[in-house]
Amino acid sequence: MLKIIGSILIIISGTMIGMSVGQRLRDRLFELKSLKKTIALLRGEIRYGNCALPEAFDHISEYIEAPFSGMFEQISRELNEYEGKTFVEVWKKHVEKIKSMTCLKNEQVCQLKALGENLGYLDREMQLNTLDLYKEQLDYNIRNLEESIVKSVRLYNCLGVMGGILIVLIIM
Amino acid sequence: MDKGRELFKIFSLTIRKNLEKLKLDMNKLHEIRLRTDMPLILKYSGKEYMIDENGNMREKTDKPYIIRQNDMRETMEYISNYSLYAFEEEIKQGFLTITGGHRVGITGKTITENGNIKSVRYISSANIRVSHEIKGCSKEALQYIRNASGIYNTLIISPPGCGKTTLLRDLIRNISNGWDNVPGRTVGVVDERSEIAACYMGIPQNDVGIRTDVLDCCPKETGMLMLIRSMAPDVIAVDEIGGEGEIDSIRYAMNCGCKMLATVHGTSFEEIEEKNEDIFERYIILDKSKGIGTIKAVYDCKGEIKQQC
Repeated sequence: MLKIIGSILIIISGTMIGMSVGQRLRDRLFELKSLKKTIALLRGEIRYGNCALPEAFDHISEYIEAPFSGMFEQISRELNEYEGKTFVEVWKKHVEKIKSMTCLKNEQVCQLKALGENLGYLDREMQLNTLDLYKEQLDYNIRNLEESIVKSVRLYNCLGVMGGILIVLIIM
Repeated sequence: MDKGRELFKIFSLTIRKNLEKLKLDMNKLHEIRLRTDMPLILKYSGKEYMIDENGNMREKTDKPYIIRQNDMRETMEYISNYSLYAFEEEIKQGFLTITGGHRVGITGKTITENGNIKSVRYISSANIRVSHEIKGCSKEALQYIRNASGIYNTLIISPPGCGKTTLLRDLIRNISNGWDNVPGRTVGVVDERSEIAACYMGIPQNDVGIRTDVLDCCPKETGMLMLIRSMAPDVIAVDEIGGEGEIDSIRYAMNCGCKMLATVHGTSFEEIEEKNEDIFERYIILDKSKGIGTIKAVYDCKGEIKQQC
């Protein structure tokens, strides 16, 4: 009797693990899309509002989702304190901070960090180009993920169940 | 002190610490000059000072505090709020206005395209001119420009640094609030360089009176016409007029029944006459013979001297 209950528990937990990995993929897709929206907003603030970066960040933080809204709000606040740090330092520090809260891949976090390196540099045209470049990277990431996500989620679900069963078989 | 803190925030951390230690009286501070690899120079109550190695203010010192390239870069980053791109237009003109209405003039390597300045890179010098808000400094001037029905069209003529913007600001405040027994009037201000009202996000940070509407960062020529149509002001005030189109707009405004208050760079009435800008009814000439903002003379439209001190 105990054996059977134990086996069921193992299989269930295996399934859960598989599902949570799949969920992570869905969250990643959501975050990438949220970033894309952020870039569109930022572009507008710079293009039409001719806003300085801290001001623009403060504005857009109201319209976007966590954890990015918090990140932009904090960057804006820290920049306005003028504590002797460059823009890139502040930017990278805060991207690093939210890294663990997101489901982004390492590579995608690096891309987000790299965006900060070119912001504030040269003229307005340059800002827009920098944002466009980053948007292209996002588009690429989103497209890739969307193509594979259905298959991947199913795969992870199966793997979870199978893994559970496998472990039960080995133990028995 | 708070106003000083606000201003010092634009300097790099090391410069800021040095300046804060001096405990300056902001009303006496006129200019702060930064030049890469040169000493920091302050113009304070009419004299020039440097900062020595102990952080004290001295007129002469062997080891003055030197501005490093990094200080300059950091300062420019703060001045532009990390976003030089947002100040393209201002940089083309060689100066930008920061929070508080202070003016920062810059020089460096200019980048030109077809003979026009496109931008300034490698900014090596900056001159921070502290804007002052001296309430009540227009008392004397008001006597000369008031008439039975309000005020005359008035032009303030002054060389740089003699307090013309400060005087204009106080005139606006008094005319807008009303003074003595004169009722206040609606004043429209076209603040092309954000120096008069020092707007932050569109809201005046300086006290410009309760009946004042400010068009911030707007070119004067179009701004004046816009104000006449949209806000029906009794008085329109502008700073540093000069362009041909601006004079036409001023004429137009006068014909619409608005009274004009304007300032211009210059030293004498004759100069203005030559430039065909003698369309005003009162001309106030400023200099600093008896301290900044001394009224040297007042003329009326026929060129007659009202007072000479």
